[in-house]
Amino acid sequence: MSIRERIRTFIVDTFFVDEFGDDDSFLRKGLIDSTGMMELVAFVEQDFGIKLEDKELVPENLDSLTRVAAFVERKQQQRLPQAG
Amino acid sequence: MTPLRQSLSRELGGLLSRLKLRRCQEVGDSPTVLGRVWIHGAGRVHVGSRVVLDGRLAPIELHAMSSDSLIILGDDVAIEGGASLEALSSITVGPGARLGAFIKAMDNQHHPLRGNRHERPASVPMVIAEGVTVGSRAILLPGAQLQKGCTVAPGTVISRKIPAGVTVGGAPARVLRREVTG
Amino acid sequence: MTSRMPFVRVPAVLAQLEALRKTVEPRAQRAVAMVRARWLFRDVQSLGHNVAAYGPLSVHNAGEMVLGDRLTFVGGMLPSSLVCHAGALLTIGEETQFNYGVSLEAWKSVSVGARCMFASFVRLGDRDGHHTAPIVIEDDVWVAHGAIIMPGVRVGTRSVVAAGSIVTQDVPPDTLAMGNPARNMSLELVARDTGS
Repeated sequence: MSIRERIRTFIVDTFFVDEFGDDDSFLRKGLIDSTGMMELVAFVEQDFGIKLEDKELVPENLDSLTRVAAFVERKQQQRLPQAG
Repeated sequence: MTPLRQSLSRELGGLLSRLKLRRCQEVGDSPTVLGRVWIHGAGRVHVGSRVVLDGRLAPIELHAMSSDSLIILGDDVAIEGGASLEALSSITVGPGARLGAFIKAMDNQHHPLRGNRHERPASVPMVIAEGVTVGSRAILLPGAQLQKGCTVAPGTVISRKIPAGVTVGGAPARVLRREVTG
Repeated sequence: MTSRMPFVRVPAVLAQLEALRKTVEPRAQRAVAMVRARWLFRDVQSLGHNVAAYGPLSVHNAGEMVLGDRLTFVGGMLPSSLVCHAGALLTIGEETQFNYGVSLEAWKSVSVGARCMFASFVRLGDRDGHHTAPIVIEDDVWVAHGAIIMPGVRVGTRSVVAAGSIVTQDVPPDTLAMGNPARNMSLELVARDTGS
């Protein structure tokens, strides 16, 4: 499963929202509230083995499926050189 | 105790419980109220049969805030001390649900997170289904919807739907276990 | 012989009495609350105007307490408690509101800004088992139900501490702190602006 699909599966299973587009804003569509956003952050950290800084918890990184997937990809690439 | 004294004290306890629930619009058979309950607000509070409200540790608050607010406790509901249910729209607790000490359930946040703090956001009617267990000090925020037989671990903050038979816990909350069906 | 009852429209009179009660009662409650606050805060060095306590409070002042104007303490299930130990400074800005069961304890310094809101069962103490460090809550902060703020924390202006959070690090302005331990996320991420 791709990063995007894994995140989508988590959102659908957890928040019971099925019909939403990849670029829909979680906030403006009312898909995820603040507690839910914290759960999403915890899922992303645990499932992809990355650590999000508090200053990275902003709409530019997390407010749509596309943004979250792109952000996770960026974080994983940052991590790889250090690991290898 | 002799059978006579036993039955007498049971009758008295029942009368006292009904006295403490006098602010409720409907009360079912044989309620048990220990310690203090604080039922207030302009709305309606309905209590089912065999309900146990144990306010010995700290008072239990049932607050139906406005005139069209409604709190319904189903049959066999048990609530421990310090629990507080605040409804602006409605809070329904299903039969056999158990709410732990110092839990808080509210169907309205009362203030928006940003901007004008005096504006009131919309209420989300809360349903706590049959057989749900809520651990002590858990907080149920607007949007919480606990389905049949699910369990909320102590201290967990919930504002979403929890499917039937699931146990959630932690901060932020995550699924700790699922009931295996079949 | 038949005597006629004087013609009194009973429902109308009752409605009038009810309307009168509705206008008088809140004012009477407020007056009582202000007198109660005067009595409860009699040992406070500096008390603002129009401070109202709508229920019992436990106040213990051995240090210095500076309370602003128009504070509100709501009564309820359990009384709030304000404790200021010897040599400590506890300041609260104007128009700050406290729900029931709030616990504020100052061993060294606790400073709360103006127009803050403290929900029920919030705990704020500048000493835990290990160390003492001042707590600063800036203006317009909302601390939601059951949150605990640990020593040495500074919460920035307009920030929100979510229900049940345990705040162990500083919270910048316009931020939502949530979880145990609390993490800070931008309020723009989770809330639309509802105007000023």
